Amino acid sequence: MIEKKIRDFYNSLPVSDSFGETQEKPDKSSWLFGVCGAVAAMVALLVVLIKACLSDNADEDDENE
Amino acid sequence: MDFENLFENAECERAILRIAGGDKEALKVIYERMNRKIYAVAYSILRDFATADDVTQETYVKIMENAFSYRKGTNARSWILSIARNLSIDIFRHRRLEFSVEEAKQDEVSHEEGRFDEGEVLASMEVKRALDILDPEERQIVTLRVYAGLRHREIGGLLGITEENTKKKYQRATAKMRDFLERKEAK
Repeated sequence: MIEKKIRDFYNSLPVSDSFGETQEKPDKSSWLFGVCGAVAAMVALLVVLIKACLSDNADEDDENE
Repeated sequence: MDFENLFENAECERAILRIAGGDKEALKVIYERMNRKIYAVAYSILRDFATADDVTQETYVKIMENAFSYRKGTNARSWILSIARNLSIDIFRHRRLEFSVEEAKQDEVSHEEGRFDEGEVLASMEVKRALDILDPEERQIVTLRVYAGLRHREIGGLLGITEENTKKKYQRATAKMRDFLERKEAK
C-alpha cells in the first residue's frame, strides 16, 4: 500500500517541537478516545438505570403478591 | 472529507478565531493537529529536513500575524497549509535549494539516528527516494492527499489547478512511486 508507506515515512521524520522538545509520534485521534469514553460512560449509566428499574418492578411484584 | 478531517477542520477554525481574538494559547491546538502536516507540506517542496523545520516554525508566526484575516467558514486546514506552502515556495525561490549528494547523505544519517529497526529505516529511505523522483507539484499533491488528508478539490484550490487535474496527477504520481518501489524490491 503506497499510501501507508508515505504516511509511515512522514510519521517517522523527527519533527522539532515548537514548544521546545522533540515531538514523538503524532497525536492519533485523542478525540476518539474521548468520544469512546463518553459513550462507555453513557452505556454504563444506562445499564445502572435499567437495573434500578427492573429491581423496582420486582419489588412491586413481590408486594402485589 | 471523513469525520476526523471535518472535526480537525472545525477545531482549527475555532483555534484561528480564538487567536484572532487575542488568545495565543489556541496556537497549541493547531500545533497538536497540524504540526506534522505543515512539516510534510514544507518538506514536499523543499526536500530538506532542517529547512522544512524552519518553515514549520515560521508558519506559526504567520498564523498569529494573519489570523485576523481568516474568514469564518473557509477551509481552515487549507488556509494553514497554504501558509506553509507559500513560505516554502518563497524560500525555495530565494535560496534555490539544490540538494547535493553530500546533504542528502547527511539527511539520511540524521533521519536514521532516530530509528531503531534497520528494515524500517531502509523502507523509509526507499519511500523518500520514491518521493524524490516525483516533480515538485506531484510531490505536493501526494503529500496533501495522503498525509494532510485534503480532498482533490481542496488541493486543486491550493495549487491553482482543476480537481480533475489533481486526480490525474495523483494517479500518475502514485503509479510512478509504486513502480519505483517494486523495481527496488525486485533487485
